[in-house]
Amino acid sequence: MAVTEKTQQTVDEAVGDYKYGFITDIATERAPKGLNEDIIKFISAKKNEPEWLLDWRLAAYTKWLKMEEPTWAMVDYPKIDFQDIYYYSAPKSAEDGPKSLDEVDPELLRTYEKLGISLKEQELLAGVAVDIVFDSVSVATTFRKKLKEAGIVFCSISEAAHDYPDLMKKYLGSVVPVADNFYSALNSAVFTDGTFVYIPKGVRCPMELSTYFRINEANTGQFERTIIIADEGSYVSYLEGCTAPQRDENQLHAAVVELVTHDDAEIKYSTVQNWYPGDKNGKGGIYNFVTKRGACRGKNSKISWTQVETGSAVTWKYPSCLLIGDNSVGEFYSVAITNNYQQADTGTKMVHIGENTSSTIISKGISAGKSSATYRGLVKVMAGAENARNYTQCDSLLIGDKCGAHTVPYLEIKNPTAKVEHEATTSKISDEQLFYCQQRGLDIEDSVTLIVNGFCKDVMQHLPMEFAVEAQKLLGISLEGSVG
Amino acid sequence: MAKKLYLENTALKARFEAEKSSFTGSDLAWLNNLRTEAMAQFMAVGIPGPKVEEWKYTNLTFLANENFTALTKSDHKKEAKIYFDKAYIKEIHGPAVVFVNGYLDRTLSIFEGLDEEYFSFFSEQPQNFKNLLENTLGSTSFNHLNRALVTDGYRLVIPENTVLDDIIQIIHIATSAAHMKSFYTRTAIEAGKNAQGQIMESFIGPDHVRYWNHMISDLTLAEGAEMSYVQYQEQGLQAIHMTELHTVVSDAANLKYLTFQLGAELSRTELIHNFVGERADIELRGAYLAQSQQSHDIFTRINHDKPNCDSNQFFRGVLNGGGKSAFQGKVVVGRDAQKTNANQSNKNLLLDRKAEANAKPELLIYADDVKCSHGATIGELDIDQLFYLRARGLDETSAKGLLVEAFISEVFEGWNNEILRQKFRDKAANWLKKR
Repeated sequence: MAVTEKTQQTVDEAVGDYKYGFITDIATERAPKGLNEDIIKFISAKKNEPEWLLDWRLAAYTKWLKMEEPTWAMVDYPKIDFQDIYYYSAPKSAEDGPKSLDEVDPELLRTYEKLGISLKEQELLAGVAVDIVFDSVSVATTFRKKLKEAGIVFCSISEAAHDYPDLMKKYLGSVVPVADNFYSALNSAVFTDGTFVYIPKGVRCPMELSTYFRINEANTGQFERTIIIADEGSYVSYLEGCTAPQRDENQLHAAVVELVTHDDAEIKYSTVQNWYPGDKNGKGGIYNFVTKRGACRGKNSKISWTQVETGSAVTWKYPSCLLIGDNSVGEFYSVAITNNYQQADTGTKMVHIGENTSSTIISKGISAGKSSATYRGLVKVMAGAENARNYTQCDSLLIGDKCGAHTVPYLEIKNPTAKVEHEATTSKISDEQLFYCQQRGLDIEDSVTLIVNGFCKDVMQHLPMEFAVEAQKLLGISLEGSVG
Repeated sequence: MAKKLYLENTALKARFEAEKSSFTGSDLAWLNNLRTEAMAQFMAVGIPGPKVEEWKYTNLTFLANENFTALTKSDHKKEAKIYFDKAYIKEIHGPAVVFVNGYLDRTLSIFEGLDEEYFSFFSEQPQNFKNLLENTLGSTSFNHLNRALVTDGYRLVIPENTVLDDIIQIIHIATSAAHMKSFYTRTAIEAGKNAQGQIMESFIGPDHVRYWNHMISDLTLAEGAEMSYVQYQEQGLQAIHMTELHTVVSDAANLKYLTFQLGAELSRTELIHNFVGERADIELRGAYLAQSQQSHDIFTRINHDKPNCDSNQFFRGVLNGGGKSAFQGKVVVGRDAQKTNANQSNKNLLLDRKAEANAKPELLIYADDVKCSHGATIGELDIDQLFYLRARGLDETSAKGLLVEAFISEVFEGWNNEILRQKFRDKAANWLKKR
């Protein structure tokens, strides 16, 4: 694509002495709208990245240009103008946000209250300019110290590019190839933020890792890139997201997450996603197009995905496992709730390559209002995957008669020793169940929450303690207004 | 830069132009127009490539390159008779309508016991097919192609309150003259109010002869009608076989359908069902057995647009020695289709290292007071069961054959005709031995 003169000009203006290196203050800058090679060079320079990474980004961009937006997912949204998006904006300065909680949308505050979030945290989440006196600062510092002692690398992706170039070169794009899909290519070209985790051999990470504690990069970027590597015999549990609804002005989110486990290693990756789903009439809301994939490269390794998806206007997400090592295990536990006009097309891919590999898929979809939830999953057993085992269960619950629940499983089996099972059901909350609860004094919304929680129990019990309690409350809140 | 999803076959277009003046009904203006338009529609879409979702598991690239031509009349009486004797089920005693290489063969057909006024044939009375062709139910590229090149077909109209006691056998025969030919047939079965009928359709042809037959059946059931419809396919191992079945089912009508795919190199069965009335009930059963280079592709779509209807799908497959199968089932329950019961079950047995089974059972649901379920499994024979039989002195092939028979027979169980049930069971039991 030819760089228009105008863009060049804008970039120059924004960057100043661009050609001669960056000396301008980075704190308040934002790249002009649109995407071209200059913007990518700009991002790379901003992040002070090594040259190989810039080349990698540019190669990704070239590939992206040749790709087309996928349309197969069962979601419907206006066409995205990729030239009308900011691809880089530095963490916003405090002055831009609301001055106090009084200026924040009362609807949002009510939700915080219901989740039992402390006032200080509420301010932080709502983007209120708070003085940095926050409990988790000290907590985080202690945590980081502890991790360092264990030899664990836990830093931002930009830091990793500098400090651990060999690891980065080895693993970046090794699980999700640049040209895997349209959004992974886009992400590869413009990713601005993310987390890099390396757990050395034999180390059991002493705590649940979470971006939440990496407060120096608290603003989750719209193009996040996460890489987690668990070396031989190690274990890590990683939490992503937050139960509290997050406001974010970036409409398009396209993250890429890559997980690698070596021999006997295990990664447990839990997500609670609750981005702004748009208002009751389906206006606004985040588009969440995520590519998540884990490769069980070593023998006896394990990757477990657990997700609770309640937010975003459009979700397009398939956390997958490549079961390469013999005896490796892949798991996927998912709850997807859609309400109002939300649309979720989510599921998983389990690719059995090694011998004696096994995978479990439990997916619970709940649709209410005028929303639609789709489970789309692939179980593939390659010819060499002896004794592969898969069990899939997807259940859908419909609340109201205007929503949709869809199940689109793919089973592709090329080995006779495989045992693959798929089961799915679709039903609604029965009047009898509701009556029973109400008769015992619960109001209708509490009854629904109770029933839905029961429906999701199989998945919720796989969430780490920190998340489980809040996530349960979240289920109820997400479904507010859907009955009665 | 759109990747090309559909492939072009210019040979078919050339064939159409060359054949134009000799088509059945070429003196009818409406038919000529319809054919020309359908051919243009086909050329505009093309042959589905491997990236087309509906054809994900069956690669048709070869169709774009191979040149299947039209059949010129030839003497095939003797050969056709052999196949007729093979395919005609004497125990049923009923009438038979025979098509050889895509054309009606009156000498082989048995019209005795058949009220001929119920039947009409495209090659004889093309005007009777006007409505059918003009209001075609499908819109796939092959549906267009079939309309453009249609050779022959039958239309069966069962009047109101009429019950046909005999099973009508429809036998489609291909002979060695069909090598590298393709033919396109079109059939329609219309059951009037409270009418009842039974159809048994079979496809047979020689090994080592490569041909492509494509058939579209339209099945319309008026209020309270009851039909059972069997499609049994045991063609030669080089045949390309495609069928497209469209059904429209009215209030309280009942359809039982059974397909058994045994032969052909490639078979594709498309079953598209629409409910236009309430309290209707359809049952689809299917069995497919694939060996060596065979592949069977079953594609179903059931549109529940009306409340209180039931649909049941029950498909089983056994794949041996490089055999391949695909089951793509889709149930769509519309907003108004409350109290729908829809079940879908697909089970597959892999007997061999090179075999491959694919399943994609889809549910799309927009109504909340429904009961829908689907289940799919893929696995191998239970080693303990095999051991049990071997321990009792059965050799491996017989033991496997017995287990395959048991597995497949569940499809035929409960079918309303004992003779057919037994015939299919035997076919399944002998399948492993024969080839």
